Amino acid sequence: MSHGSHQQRLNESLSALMDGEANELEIQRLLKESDANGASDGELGHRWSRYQLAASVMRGEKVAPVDMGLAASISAAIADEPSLESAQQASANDAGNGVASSRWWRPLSRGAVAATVAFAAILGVQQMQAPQVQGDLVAEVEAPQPQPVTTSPQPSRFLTPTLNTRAVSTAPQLVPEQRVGPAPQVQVVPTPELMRHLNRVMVEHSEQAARIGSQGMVPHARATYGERPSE
Amino acid sequence: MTMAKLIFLTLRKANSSLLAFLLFASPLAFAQGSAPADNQEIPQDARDATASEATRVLLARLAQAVANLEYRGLVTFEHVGSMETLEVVHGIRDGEQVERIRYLTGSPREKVTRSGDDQCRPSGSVFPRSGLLSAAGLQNVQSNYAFLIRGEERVADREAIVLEARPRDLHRFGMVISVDKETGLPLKSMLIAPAGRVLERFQFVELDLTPVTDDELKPQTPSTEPTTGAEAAKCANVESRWRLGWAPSGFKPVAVQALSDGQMLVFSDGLSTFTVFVQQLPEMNYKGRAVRGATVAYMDHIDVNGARYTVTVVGEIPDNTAQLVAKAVTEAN
Repeated sequence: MSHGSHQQRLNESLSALMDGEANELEIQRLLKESDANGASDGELGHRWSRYQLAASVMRGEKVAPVDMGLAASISAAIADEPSLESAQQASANDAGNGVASSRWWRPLSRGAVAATVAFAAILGVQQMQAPQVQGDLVAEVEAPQPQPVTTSPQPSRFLTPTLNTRAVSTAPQLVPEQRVGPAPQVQVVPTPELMRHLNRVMVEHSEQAARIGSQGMVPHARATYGERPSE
Repeated sequence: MTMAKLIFLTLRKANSSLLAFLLFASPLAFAQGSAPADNQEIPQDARDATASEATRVLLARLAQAVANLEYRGLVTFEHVGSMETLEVVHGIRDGEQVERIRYLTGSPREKVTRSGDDQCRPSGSVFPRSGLLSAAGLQNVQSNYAFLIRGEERVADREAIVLEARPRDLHRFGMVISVDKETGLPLKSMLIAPAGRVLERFQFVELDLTPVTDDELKPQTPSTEPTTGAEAAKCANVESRWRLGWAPSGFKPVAVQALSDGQMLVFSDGLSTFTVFVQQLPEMNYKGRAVRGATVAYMDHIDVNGARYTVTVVGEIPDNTAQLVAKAVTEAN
């Protein structure tokens, strides 16, 4: 096999991949080639970039020079969730309909990941704005931490908050009444007496709610949540 | 070769425009897809008779299961950005419910509760122990929430019916409860704020319905003392010193209890509950709210005959409602 025809076959595979029509063999070939040449340095990488750019222009998207670091981090995020795509890719080989569906899903999921990243960035900025602290009881401001972004399947039409895996304090969080305009809500660390009071009333309330009994174990879980571990 | 390339290009262009169209069209398609679900509310009256009968049966089964079944299981409990896992055991001993809950994540917390039967009800309350067990309680719940059966799902390897309680006003949160088909036990429950925001999710991962042994109801952490109804017992004949000038519709007083430094009054609409604490707490001048998970506490104070009382309204209710309730506390002459 001459070098020329090998390159040509690669280009055809790349075109097919662009259109979501690459078969398993072609993808394997492309991956192997890109591994051999180093991800974005080789001829294949450049060609892939050009194809993407051309596709973007045709879609009427605004195009800016891509920061390869950012692109790498986004593609890493995409790599974490390949199941849907690859499942559809597989079905694409079987049925004509599958080909079409795999094609629309790709840009959607990619856009979703990018949007999530952007959203996290905005959130981080908002939280970092120095909050105006008021009230006599304010001792110190807890530095807010940007929420880590997770991708989890969510039930349709309910917005589940993103999950946080870091250890979270079980203490109630105070929100003083005087709030400053639309500024982010301020977390303050109040006096120990106030925290004890709040914890006590929340636990007592949950125990009462458990007695009413229509919610099963949930109020018990809430009451136990604030239980102080033995000191 | 050039010809082939041209065809390639046109094909790709066709693909791209198709794609662009689909991108535009798909949100519309989704919107249309979800529209019929919302429109179901319009001919609600027509379907009400059968739908409400079905939910009535489901709610009654749920109330029975919650009070009478013995089970143990593993549960995930999530709220606003955090998730914990816990072990729950529910047994019946001498006609009383005994619950043991132990957190498997975070700081070790465990609680054993023995809830005696309805000590703290003011006489004439419409609520028995479970608001859903009586016809009156059920009717009250249905006047505060619209119930919709949203379909089926599988939770903890069991088939469940998904029931949504949609609040009829802004003073309470909605709930989505997945009820076990076989037993009526809630396998998953979510607390829903307006715009579909999930505040809290409690969900079984594993459920075992075989009878619970005495050992399983004993605390595993040595220092855990069972919480008995002992403190609650003295509330039986407490007259409330306070009353609410205003309460959101449907919330009725279900309990009054004396505290060492004041009183607490419990209100429920059959699903949601809030508690009003009126206490003499020196040096407690904080005014504002605090949140933990789905629970909000709003603090304020009132002055009666020169004495200052701290008012704290605690519940799984919207912030504004808690604030309104706190401001409505007055002395019951």
